[in-house]
Amino acid sequence: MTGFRCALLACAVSIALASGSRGVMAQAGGDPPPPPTTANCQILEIKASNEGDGVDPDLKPLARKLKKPPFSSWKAFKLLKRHDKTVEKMKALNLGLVTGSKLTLLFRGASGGQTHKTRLRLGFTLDDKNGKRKVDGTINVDSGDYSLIGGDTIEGGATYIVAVSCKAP
Amino acid sequence: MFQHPNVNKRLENPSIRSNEAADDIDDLDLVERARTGDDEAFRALFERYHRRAYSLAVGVVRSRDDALDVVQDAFIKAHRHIGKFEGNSSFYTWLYRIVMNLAIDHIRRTKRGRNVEFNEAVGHAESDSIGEETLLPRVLDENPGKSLVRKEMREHIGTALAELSDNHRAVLVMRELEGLSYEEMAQAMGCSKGTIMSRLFHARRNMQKRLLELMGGEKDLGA
Amino acid sequence: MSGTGPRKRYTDAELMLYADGELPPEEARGVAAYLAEDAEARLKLESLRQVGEAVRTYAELETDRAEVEVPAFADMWSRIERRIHANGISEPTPAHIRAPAAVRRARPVAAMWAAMRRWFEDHRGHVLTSAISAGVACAIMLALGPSWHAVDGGRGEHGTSHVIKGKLVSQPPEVEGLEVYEGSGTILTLEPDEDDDSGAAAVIWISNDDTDLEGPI
Repeated sequence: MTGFRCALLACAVSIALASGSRGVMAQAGGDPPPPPTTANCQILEIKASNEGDGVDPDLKPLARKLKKPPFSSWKAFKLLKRHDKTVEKMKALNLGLVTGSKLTLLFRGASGGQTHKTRLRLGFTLDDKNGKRKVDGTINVDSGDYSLIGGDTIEGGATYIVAVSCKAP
Repeated sequence: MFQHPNVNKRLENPSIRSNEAADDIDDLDLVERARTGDDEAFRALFERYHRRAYSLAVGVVRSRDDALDVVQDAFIKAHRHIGKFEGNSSFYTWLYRIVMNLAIDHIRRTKRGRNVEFNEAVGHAESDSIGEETLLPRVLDENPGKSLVRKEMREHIGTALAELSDNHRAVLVMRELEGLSYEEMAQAMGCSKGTIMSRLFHARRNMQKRLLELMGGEKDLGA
Repeated sequence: MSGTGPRKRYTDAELMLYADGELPPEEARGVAAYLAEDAEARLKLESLRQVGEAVRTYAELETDRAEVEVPAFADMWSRIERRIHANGISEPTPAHIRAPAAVRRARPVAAMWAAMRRWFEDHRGHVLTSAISAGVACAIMLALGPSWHAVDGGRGEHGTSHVIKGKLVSQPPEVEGLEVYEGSGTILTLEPDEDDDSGAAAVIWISNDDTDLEGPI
């Protein structure tokens, strides 16, 4: 019986291996690509208010999301400024925002890419215009997905949102 | 020509062990075993580095209990994320970043409860520019490395360190204990090299001034 | 001194950069020459060295003291071990991370190979039967398996052509850690609609201590 069980186990393992090996065999070179050491980030500074209606055409990738809570409280979304930056792994990117605040982004690393979308690990801090730290966090997010940080009130009673999306090259 | 022994070399640090390349290979072997759930391998890493991690933490957070918490949390975090360690740096480099992040997080969390005016009152307000400040051309009477067996000497140094701002103390500890370059410190703290340089300058200047006040004495090197 | 004018004076910040090895070689040589002629500058450098030594020795002695005087220091490992086991197993190693080359070279293979040979000797018959069965199963799978189609016309996310079935799996965003100073934060995930190709989005909503009661949350 031991021999039979061995054979059965070997069959099961090889079936599993054969299934998984298809993609590997077809891939040029056969080795998984090394994790990226840079990421291309887009940072959008957004003003949410009830003056007017509609989402700025430049905010199209976020249009559907901005219709959902908590953003559904506002009718109008305007792009204040867009930044396109390349971040290097473990090198902080400091960004001055239109409000006078400072956003610091740190691309900590990436994983995945074979069967899962590339996953980026991003650190971020937000300091107010006086240099006082407001937020400090780390997020794991699929390449290209957005993270939105909001809640601050700006002039005219509008609400300020920063949207960050980073993509592995 | 006067040749400073540290010219263009990383600061020699008694805490950094020699034969680093061999240690790195051993560490990577232990990390690989720890990834598979070998607790003994992770314990070996702990035994190897917990003292050094504690030295770093206690220098930044000042309190013994807090330093213990930081080190424990760091090792637990390292264990949890050991699958993500890619071997691009040494294990200790990876670990000390965790320790520093936790230590800096800790002092930020406790900052609100502290009387931050104290630092300003004694003229140690943090600044990101060097301005007109200069180093004092004076040295201590006794070599601190040789004299610290005396309890009061150690307490003086502890007092002087405690009076630094958190950022100043963090860069000073990172530089003096770990020998990090300005670039490495800038990455760890998420700021520019210029900011690191300023903070380090202020930290050393303030330490120098305070140590001279507390311990007194001056010496003419040429005598 | 040569007729090139007065020797350049260096600032204390430059002295510090020199001591830390942060100056390019040419500038470092300039500082070294300056130090040879300026006693005050040498004193300043020596004082920097003393500050460093004080900090290092203080940290070492504090650690020595903790080892002796603080029971919690000696117990640290047992507390860590308890929390590790309470938290469960560590995160799995991502597939693309392999043992670094240094480990592969340094691994003592002899003992492992000897153990494998011993096992093989004991189970030779079963191994051969299993190997034949496995080979047959592989051949059947490869011959009869479904055809694969490329994703996005054959170019994967990393720019290399690789062929996998279906789309790459998405995962929701995960906020690993969040610290909000003088306020509170709420974390939300906005899932994409069925016909929305964009992924999920993480939302971090900050409310200040002086709570805005008319805020969205």
